[in-house]
Amino acid sequence: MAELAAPLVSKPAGTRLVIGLLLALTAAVASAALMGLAGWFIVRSAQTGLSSTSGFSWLYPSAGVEALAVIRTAARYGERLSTHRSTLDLLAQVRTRLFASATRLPMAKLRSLRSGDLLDRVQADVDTLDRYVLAVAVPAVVCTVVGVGSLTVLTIVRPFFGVVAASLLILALAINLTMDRGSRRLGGQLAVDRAAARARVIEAIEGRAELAGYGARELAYDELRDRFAALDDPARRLSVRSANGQAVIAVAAGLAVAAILAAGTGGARPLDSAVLAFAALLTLALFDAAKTIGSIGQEAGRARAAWHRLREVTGLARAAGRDVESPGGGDVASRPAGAPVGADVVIRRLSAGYGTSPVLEAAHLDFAAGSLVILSGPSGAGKTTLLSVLAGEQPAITGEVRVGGVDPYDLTYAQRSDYLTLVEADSGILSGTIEDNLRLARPEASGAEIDHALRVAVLSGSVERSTQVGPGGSFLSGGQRRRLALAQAYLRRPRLILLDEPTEGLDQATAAQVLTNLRAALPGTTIVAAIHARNAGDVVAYADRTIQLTDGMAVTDRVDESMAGR
Amino acid sequence: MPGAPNAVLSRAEPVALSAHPNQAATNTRRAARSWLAAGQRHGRALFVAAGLADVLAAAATVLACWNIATLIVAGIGPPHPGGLSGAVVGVALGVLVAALAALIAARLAEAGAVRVETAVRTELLESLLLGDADDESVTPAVAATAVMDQLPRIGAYFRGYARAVIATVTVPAVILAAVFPASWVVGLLLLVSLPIVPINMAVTGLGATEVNRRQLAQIGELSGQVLERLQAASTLRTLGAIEHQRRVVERAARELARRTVAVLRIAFLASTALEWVSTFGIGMVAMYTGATLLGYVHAAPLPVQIAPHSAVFVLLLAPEFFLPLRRFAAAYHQGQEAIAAAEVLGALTRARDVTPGAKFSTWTATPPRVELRDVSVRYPTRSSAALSNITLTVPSGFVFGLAGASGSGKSTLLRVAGGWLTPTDGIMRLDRRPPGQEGRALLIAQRPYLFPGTLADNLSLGQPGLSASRMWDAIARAQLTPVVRSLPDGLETVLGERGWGLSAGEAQRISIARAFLSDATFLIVDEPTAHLDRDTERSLIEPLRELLRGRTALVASHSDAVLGLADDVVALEDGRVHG
Repeated sequence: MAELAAPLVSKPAGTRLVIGLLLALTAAVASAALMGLAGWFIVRSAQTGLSSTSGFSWLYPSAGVEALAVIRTAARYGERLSTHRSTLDLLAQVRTRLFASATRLPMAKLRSLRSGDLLDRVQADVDTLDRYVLAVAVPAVVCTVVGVGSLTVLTIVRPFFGVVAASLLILALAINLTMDRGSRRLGGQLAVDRAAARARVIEAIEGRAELAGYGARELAYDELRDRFAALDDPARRLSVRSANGQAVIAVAAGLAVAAILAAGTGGARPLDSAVLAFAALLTLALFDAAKTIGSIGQEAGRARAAWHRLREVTGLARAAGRDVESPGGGDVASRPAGAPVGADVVIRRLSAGYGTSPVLEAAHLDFAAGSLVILSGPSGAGKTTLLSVLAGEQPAITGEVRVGGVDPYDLTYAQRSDYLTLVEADSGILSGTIEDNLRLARPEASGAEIDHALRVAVLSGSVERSTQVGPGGSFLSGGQRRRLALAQAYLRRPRLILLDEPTEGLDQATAAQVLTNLRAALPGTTIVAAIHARNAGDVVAYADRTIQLTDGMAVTDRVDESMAGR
Repeated sequence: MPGAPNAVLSRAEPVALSAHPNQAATNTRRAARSWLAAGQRHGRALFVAAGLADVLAAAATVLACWNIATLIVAGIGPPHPGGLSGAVVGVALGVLVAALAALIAARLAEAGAVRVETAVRTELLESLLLGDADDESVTPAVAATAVMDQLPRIGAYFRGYARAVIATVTVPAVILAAVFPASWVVGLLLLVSLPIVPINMAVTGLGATEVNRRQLAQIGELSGQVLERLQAASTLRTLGAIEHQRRVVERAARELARRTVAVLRIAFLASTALEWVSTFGIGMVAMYTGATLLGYVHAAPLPVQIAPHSAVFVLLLAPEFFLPLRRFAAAYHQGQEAIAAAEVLGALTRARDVTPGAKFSTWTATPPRVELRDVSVRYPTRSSAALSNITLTVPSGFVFGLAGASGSGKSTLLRVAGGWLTPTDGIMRLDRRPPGQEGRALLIAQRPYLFPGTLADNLSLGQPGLSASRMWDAIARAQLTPVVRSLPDGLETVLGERGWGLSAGEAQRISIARAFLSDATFLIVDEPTAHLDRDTERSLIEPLRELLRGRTALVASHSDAVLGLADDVVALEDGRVHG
């Protein structure tokens, strides 16, 4: 998955990672050498002391021991810092890319995925990816080098030593890997359950007024408690498995040392004690290093499960094929289309809906550039579906739609946001000030433009630029939320504005005022507004035309030739 | 609710807010520590057992080292009288027992940590979901971060720290007991290196809590930003604001990485410092034993000789002596993380008053009398008051209508009356009592919150196992029958987040159907027909009238038809009763 893996090859993080790896190797080699040298040194001292020959210098080996100790400690500090830093840098980039991918999901997907689940992917699953570097890649490389080196040295000392150590090491690691089978599934299950739990916590807090009102708080509480208890079990299993794996390696280490010591002291040709001490301590150091890769299967499994969950998001976003907004996102729209020209809307024999079942049919409609069109009708008549098709958020099942001469569904996200603005019935608001939210639509807007937008949306009386809107806009009334969204649409100055219930929560006079203001402020822009029959009342008077939708059928301009034959 | 988790709560000391900021920080930290200490009780037996297993492991390691030393020096001195097979068995046995004991210790510590984590989580969920105050500052992201990201740090603390603290005392004692007979000089050498550990911890741990606090805060910040932007994704997309918001998220993500590195740097520094102590100690042991073996040591009262076996034995034991200290250094870092988390979690749980064993029924048996006296509400971020000196009384079973333009304070008044918002000034009374758990009204919101799940789940909110026929009855009374019949799976249709997949009007009608199914005696109705067309509204008036009958209610609406259901109507303007 190119867009997620790209940061790996980026320069600063990659370089730091390589430096970290080299430091890790230095620390591991110094550590093994330190153990071996210290053992050899003591025994050689003992031998020298007993035999009273003076061919042995005390100074150099002890200086060597101290030097190795200094190198090991310093290298280990440097290694940990640089591998963690580079990994964290990578994760920050992956997080950002994942967020960008999530925002490019098709509207239907965005609505069916729970935001708590997506958030969990951006947080916890990305966090889990650090295992790839810190618990898999770095220890694997270090252990391979230390392992090959130590085993070679042991083999040189005595081939039997190498064989014993290698066999027990491979056996221990094989047992560990066998125990790790299924950990990817377990890790994946854990991630799914954890994401669901996070989503549930978020939903319980968002809906706390409802939970309290319906006496459902204890139930929600019980459900969450059970959910977390269920989450504990796989986590505990993974943790216990790690401890088991460590015990297996410890036992293997003991057996290897016992076998080497037995072979080195007994038999026909006992080994020099100093060399034996060196071999025994080197073996212990080798198995110590192996402990860092004991859980490598589990770590890799969990990281892969997390990776899989991230790919689900990027894969879906890529399937939408509209990635041109992201620099380096690479994927150019699969359905190239020219930019729309003009503000005409043309609908021919359209049917649209969910999947293949149409909820809307409109035979033949033309909206002239700069007109204000009101789609009116009862709940469920297909008004929102028509807006969604015009916005290019969903394709027509049959027939065709043209905005500015092109099919809106063929446009990239960037082309669409340049050309049209869809104000949904439940438009999103970010915490911050009114001005912050208006600048989402036009970051470079001047103060005068911001003020003008507030006047167009008849907001200047009730809020100021610096008014805080609260989390998700919760400090604002329903009508203020609507007008804020309309002010945003005005600041975009698109050729086509699609409004879903723009007057909801507004009294008739204000509703009419806002729509006429918008119209006057953007004379060349076609405005299509879906308004309930009830709210439409006075507003209809200001529209160039009103289309009645009943039971998914739009009244048409004129009888289309092909329809006439029916 | 079982009383046990609340014991944690009651034991925690209240945070005394002092005028002096440093003093306040110290108090917060102290409160967090005692909160953690209270949590430890839940796993104490297991932690003690783990400590005993660690002692057994240390003793077995001593046995293994003794025999390894025997085998290594076998070639130096005279041939061993009894042969060496006993020593080989000793090595194998020692290592086996040590590994098993360590395994048992790890599993016991894990079980203890899970127990503590579960207890603390129960307490946290209780205060988040059942607590008295619906504090607006506890946003969904704050709650999720607390439970999902901060709580595991408490578990990690007990998994590592509780075990390490005991092992720091017991394991070195076992090792020293073995070292002293072999060489009292080495024993002394190891003993004097011990005090360096707490000094090292104190120095490297300076400021660690603050750094951890900053990192935790950033996790919450990032989480909140991402959640809000994901929920507003389609709006951001149509406004062409994605690229800009991507940069906002990137900044927050990078800041988190930066703060995490700051935390890790301190942690690594602490364990590196301890590694120096440990390495230096081992080096000293090696140099001393080497010099003595070579016969270089002629300084009374130091012994001039050391047996080769003793020399190898103490050298093998030296790293084992420092091992628990190094584990403690790692756990100390977890400790700092946990204290930062405990400050947040402790405050979250303390702030809410959960009565153990209370019955959380949400409404009174008879319709309550609602009284507001001189109620004013000011939002911290707004200059003008949202409500000014409102006084009104709604008698039992009375339906009170609120009219007024957008932003006139209707919604704020409803929130105060429902008990979801504590007024800045003035009082709210339900049947002459302050609103408590029982004071909650049933809300029919302007934007109803529908939980992701099936339609049946949403209708049977608070009443699991509700029969389908009762649901269909309520659906019919809310004029929803044709809509539900057209859904692909009927009552079992899965609704998307916030009722996505339904039109705004349909979602509102589901919340009205839901209200028909409850026996609430006090209703807060906020623009119930704001999303409905005139025909649907007309057909809802009679069912609404039936719903309101026999209940106390506050109804805010623009619609004359809805306000016509009220026994009395007042208009609000700029947060005041008008006319």
